[in-house]
Amino acid sequence: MGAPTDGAQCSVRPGAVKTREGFGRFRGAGRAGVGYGDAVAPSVYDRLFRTARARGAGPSWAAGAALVLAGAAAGVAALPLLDGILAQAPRAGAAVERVAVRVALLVAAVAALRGADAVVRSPERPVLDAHPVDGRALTRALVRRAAVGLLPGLAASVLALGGLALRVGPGAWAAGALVVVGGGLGGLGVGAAMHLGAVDLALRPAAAPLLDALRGANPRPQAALIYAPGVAIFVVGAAIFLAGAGAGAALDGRPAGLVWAALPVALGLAGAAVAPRLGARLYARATLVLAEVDAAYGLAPRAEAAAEVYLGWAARGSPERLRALRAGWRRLRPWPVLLWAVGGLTALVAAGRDAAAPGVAAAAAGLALAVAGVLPARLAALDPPWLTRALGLGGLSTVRARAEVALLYGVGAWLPGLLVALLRHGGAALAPWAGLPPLALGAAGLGALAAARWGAGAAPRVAPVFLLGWTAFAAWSIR
Amino acid sequence: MTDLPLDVRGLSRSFGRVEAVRAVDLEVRPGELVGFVGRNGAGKSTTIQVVAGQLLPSGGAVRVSGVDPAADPLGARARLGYVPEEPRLFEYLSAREMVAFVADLRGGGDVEAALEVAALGADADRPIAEYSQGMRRRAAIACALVAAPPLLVFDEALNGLDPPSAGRVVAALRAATRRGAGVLLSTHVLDTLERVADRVVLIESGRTVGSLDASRMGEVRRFLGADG
Repeated sequence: MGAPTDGAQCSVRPGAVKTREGFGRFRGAGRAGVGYGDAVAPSVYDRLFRTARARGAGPSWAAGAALVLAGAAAGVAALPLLDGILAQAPRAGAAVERVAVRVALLVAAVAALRGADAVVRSPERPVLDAHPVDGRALTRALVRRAAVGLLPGLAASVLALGGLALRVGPGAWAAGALVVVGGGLGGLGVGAAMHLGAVDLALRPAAAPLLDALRGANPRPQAALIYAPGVAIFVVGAAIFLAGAGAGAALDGRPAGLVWAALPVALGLAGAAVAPRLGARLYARATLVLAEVDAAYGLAPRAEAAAEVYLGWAARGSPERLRALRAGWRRLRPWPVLLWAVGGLTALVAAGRDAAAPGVAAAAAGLALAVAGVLPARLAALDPPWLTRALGLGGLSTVRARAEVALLYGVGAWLPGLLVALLRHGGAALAPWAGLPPLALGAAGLGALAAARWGAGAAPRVAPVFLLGWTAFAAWSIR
Repeated sequence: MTDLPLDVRGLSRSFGRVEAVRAVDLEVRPGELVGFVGRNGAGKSTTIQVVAGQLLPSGGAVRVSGVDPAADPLGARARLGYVPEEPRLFEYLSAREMVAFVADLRGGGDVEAALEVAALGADADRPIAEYSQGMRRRAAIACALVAAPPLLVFDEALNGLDPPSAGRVVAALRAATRRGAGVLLSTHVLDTLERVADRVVLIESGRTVGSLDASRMGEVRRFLGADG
């Protein structure tokens, strides 16, 4: 370092535009109100995200390709499962409806969470909070990035439906693919728009009584954010059911059904179009809402912290587990909520009179547990690198705590279905569930180890393994 | 309220039953460098977070060049360069890229001059992930300076800087005041304030309790209990 220099030498001159160095190609692209009439042109934010991906700060293309390959393999491995479902379907249309709607609902749930994460809790927010961003262009870029990130999963899901082409016909597969892709786009677009709408709701004094009625022990602004994914999934889920029926009708000779089949796609496009408009007004204000939420949680006295965290009782004697549970409850709350929702659905399935019902319910619970294996990576993403270094995190206790949180959250997905299956079908119903513990332990353990190695980037790396593991389990449980 | 670079009147902010800020009145005029001084927990950072549009006030009024940060956070951000106590940067960019990116967000700026203040030399082209805390802070300061906004708000931004680096930053702040910008500098480094501040605002238990000319730094030291 040299000596202090004269002020005149190191002054920054107003209006002296010299941004051709470094990211100079970004010049002018991010200025509010400049150059954003064209929704197609990449903005400064799109370029930033591309740079991040190119420098390894985002999911790699190799991981995406592995997921797509795993989807194709799952399509072949799931043929026995498909045969079981098709055996009970009277028509081609009904077969598509049964298969595609289930897959599309799952894809929509994942996409809705990604949409929320993209616009509200994106990792860029703490950096950009110090600067005047163009909320519209930024939101558009965030949704675009989330859509690109969703592509491998969508492709894998469509390929996993490949059995429809073999067993029913290419038309059935195409109709199913339309419903599944619609689920993904719908979840993402509606999820993003819904979350920005939730920010608006959280800041409206008139909404305070409603939020107070809903919030339970949560801070008021958190109430709006908690329920936004559920509302998005409900809306898109209803559209998926209509789309499934429409696709089935089209395959059964009523082409007008295709209009309904495209409904989730239309919803997704509408959501993606609305989100940037909302982002222009609400992206920056979301920071204020998040600060209120974080401040409210920051006030919780430590002695009471365990009681205020979901499953806090399970953290006695394990500060690492309590830390992971607190992080999950603060930032990943839709996960346990959705896993319990899946548990409710598996209970409904298990209540069916069909002898295969416990096996189908176990397969559904297994899928949720495989998805829960990604939780450790999400938890790792919440620990900033400097904090990890400062606290000496990342050791075996952290790995174990993250895996335990995935297992604990996963209970919601299997417990209701198992109880109902036992009550409805007796002890014989246990057999299809026997493979669930190894699946859950494997997913949580592998997910936690991968999170320790790759942090937030672990999810796309382990997802193909989980998908294949689940396919094997599902084929076995429904055999 | 006025269109001063910064005008804060009767600001309060509570967290539950804790009143972090009770009654803060603060003005920063064009061309003025104001030190913001108080003990730890006095309410400096909370005040600054409200000013920077990161936190809603519970009461009172804040204007950044006439803009209310709670109502229009983006408008306020466009009018201030802010260095938080713990600056965050994109780890995968170099400082040069980061500063250029911020210049783009702000519609232009003098990247090279801002990097000169940061004095990162060849390190300006290395990824920020490889920087020390002090280097990160200097990169964040360059980001705040690059577009020459009418108000600069530095929250303990001189902490951890070696004397030459702190000297360069202080010189840049003085230069900013010469072109008419206002500067609010929260710091515990009273020697620096004594050299560069026009005025020092004292805050205690969430209330501003005085505004002293920088020539009365002895009283500031006594206020902080730092006179020996």
